[in-house]
Amino acid sequence: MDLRFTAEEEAFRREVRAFIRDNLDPVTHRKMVDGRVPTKDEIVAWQRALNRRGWATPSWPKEAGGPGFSAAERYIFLDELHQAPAPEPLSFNVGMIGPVIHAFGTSAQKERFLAATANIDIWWAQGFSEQSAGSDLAALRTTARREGDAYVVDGHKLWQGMAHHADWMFTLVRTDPGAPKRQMGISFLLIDLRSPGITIRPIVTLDGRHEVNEVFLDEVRVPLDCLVGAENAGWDVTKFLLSNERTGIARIGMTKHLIRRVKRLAGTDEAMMRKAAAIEAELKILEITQLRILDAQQGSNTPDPRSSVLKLKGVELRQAASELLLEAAGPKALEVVGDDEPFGSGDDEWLGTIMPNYAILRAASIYGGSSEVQKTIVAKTLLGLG
Amino acid sequence: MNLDLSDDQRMLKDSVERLVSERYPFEKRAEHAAEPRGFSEAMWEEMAELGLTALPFGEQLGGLGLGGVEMMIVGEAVGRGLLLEPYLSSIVLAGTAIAQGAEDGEAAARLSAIMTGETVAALADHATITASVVDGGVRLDGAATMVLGGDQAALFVLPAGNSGWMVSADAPGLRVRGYRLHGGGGAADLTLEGVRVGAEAHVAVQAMTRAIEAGIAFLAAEAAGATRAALDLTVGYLKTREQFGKPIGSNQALQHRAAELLVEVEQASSAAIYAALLAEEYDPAERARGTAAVKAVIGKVGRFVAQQTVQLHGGIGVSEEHIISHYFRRLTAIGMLLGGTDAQLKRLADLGGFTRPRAHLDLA
Ligand SMILES: Cc1cc2nc3c(=O)[nH]c(=O)nc-3n(C[C@H](O)[C@H](O)[C@H](O)COP(=O)(O)OP(=O)(O)OC[C@H]3O[C@@H](n4cnc5c(N)ncnc54)[C@H](O)[C@@H]3O)c2cc1C
Repeated sequence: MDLRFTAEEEAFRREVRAFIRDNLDPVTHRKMVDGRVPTKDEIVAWQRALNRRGWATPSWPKEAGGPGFSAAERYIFLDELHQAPAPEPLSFNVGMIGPVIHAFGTSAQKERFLAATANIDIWWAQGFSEQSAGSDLAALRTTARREGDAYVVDGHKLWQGMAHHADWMFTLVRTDPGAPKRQMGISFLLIDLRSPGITIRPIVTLDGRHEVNEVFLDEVRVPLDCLVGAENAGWDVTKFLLSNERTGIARIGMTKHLIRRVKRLAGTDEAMMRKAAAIEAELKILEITQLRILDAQQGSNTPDPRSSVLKLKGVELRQAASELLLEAAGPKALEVVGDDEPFGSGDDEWLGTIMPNYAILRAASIYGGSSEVQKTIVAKTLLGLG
Repeated sequence: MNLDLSDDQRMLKDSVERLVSERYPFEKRAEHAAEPRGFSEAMWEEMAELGLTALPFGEQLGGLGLGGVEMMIVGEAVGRGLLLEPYLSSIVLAGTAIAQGAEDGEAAARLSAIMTGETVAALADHATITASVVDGGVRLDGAATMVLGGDQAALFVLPAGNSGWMVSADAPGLRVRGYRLHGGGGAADLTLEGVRVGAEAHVAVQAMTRAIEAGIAFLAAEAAGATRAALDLTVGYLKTREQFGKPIGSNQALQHRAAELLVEVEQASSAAIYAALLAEEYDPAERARGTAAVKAVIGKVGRFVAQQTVQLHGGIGVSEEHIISHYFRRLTAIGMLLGGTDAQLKRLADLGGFTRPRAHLDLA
């Protein structure tokens, strides 16, 4: 056994780091360091810079237009982005819809969407959840009925992250209300958000920011060629997407960045440094778990069920680190400061985002499969319970 | 021992709870926060008319002369209703310091405007201010941070050296930078350059300590009210929210979480009662230990209840439009104000805690 990366992999890490240093816009970088949210334009500009280098879609195979990274390269690449810190490639585009279109799309759909998705010429939103369909996604009620050359979609989607920036939304709809099982009547549609009948309403969250939305669909006509996979076979597409969403990334590098900030604020406070060390100890070991899963996944296409373990521990540590950062900042972090306040002088830690980010990070154990749902998966699939 | 409320206390509880539920529904809170001073002037007036702002002050000072339990009753209702009015800062913190630490005539004069709500006062717990005697009075220089309610205050009580001093907000040499706080309310950072006060502005240092203790007791009551309310809402949600064809509360995992929440909420209620009764404790060391324990426990309980009630609500728990997300923020803030959990635990350890290492019982 050997935990070390090869010389080529280490060289690749240096190359990624140099690329980020030379190409990431300093304002975007400063925002990421401070924990502020970059603008749409900043995110797009960064992704296009990555795309010019061929790195915008680290998880895509070569045939899909991706870099065809090995598992180790993918890990190193994301780790460098997280630690820099730089924005991740837009997850709706790169982690979710791209691989779906590559795996299930027609050649016309691939032609039309893949390159545009990689370059964010199209910004995608995820139209899955509804009021009554959260953890129980198959309970969704948004309907689509065929009418001539189009589906007519009616319903109400809830929690669409950054849908106000989006051009298109990949959407789950019910096409067969009479199906014997709920999962069997669902289809996967690509919907142009400029279509008549669509209203996007902002939802402000407890960090005071507007990132999520609800999307109302009223008699929206969607051309038949925007169906992905077969009609009523949307659940298989969804399972594929969700397993990618949940695969393999504990975002350890992001937690490392939070710990760095804790240490800078803690200075010589020994009790604080010990708490930081307690998180770091677990984080270091989680990195090994991450590598074990990566190692087992080399050359395999089926997602590892232990990814749930990774998500559970990864989220737990990230939330713990953000909570420690709040403690390190102390009551000063309670002052309400907008994300648009001018940057502080030089090297100062930016306190303004610490409380909002601590608060919104609670959502990390709710979306993408809540921690409770993940535990049920672990108990069932890994332990054979229930 | 008797932990029942008296008839009068029960009546107070009923009337405060009615006031909060009728005048302060959650739907109105955002409007109140958007008022120029960041709270509801109308509610503040009503609290004064009901005598709530006169509650803790001695009758010789024009107050009602009530005690820790009555303050707890108010604090619980304030916590449940997430009130934004400057009761903690003006009445509990600054009010207590002035009532117990200023010369009686001066205290009565200052408090009369504080009790009507006309003057909002604020007390600094974090300050580095020096007091030097100059002819005809005292000169104050230094700074204070995170002065609760300081963004709206007309009068400050500031610690300097081994005393407290009352300083008017418009005193020459005083600069006030006010801001809003996550979780509600506001605060200010102050800088003082050659601020002059007279001997009549003096506040005894013991009263400053008493004020912080009263403030922590009030925060404990707020936390008890807020955690109980958040738990009630969450249990209601577990019973009505359906996923996978059944109420989410039918999952044992969530039942156990709710049970853990209740355990912690009971701790918060006990902390509030203990803190309320500590107000009557005459031994300062015992009060100091007790207060540190109370603050540490409500900090921990508040954090857990905040996190888990949001978690059990799923997505709507993080929405600004849902009250759970506001309990989350207020409970987080309560844990950090007037000394965070770590600082309190250090204090309690430094004070020797509640038990001694030697044997409790020495057998002959
Ligand atoms: C910030 C944020 C961004 C989001 N972005 C998107 C997006 O872009 N697109 C999109 O479609 N959706 C998005 N979502 C929605 C997200 O996927 C859902 O919130 C999530 O699926 C949980 O559903 P829910 O909120 O309805 O909670 P519920 O499913 O109602 O869950 C409530 C609580 O019950 C628990 N629970 C539920 N079922 C069980 C069970 N069987 N056993 C034990 N516990 C259970 C949950 O873990 C949770 O604690 C987002 C959500 C948030 C908060």
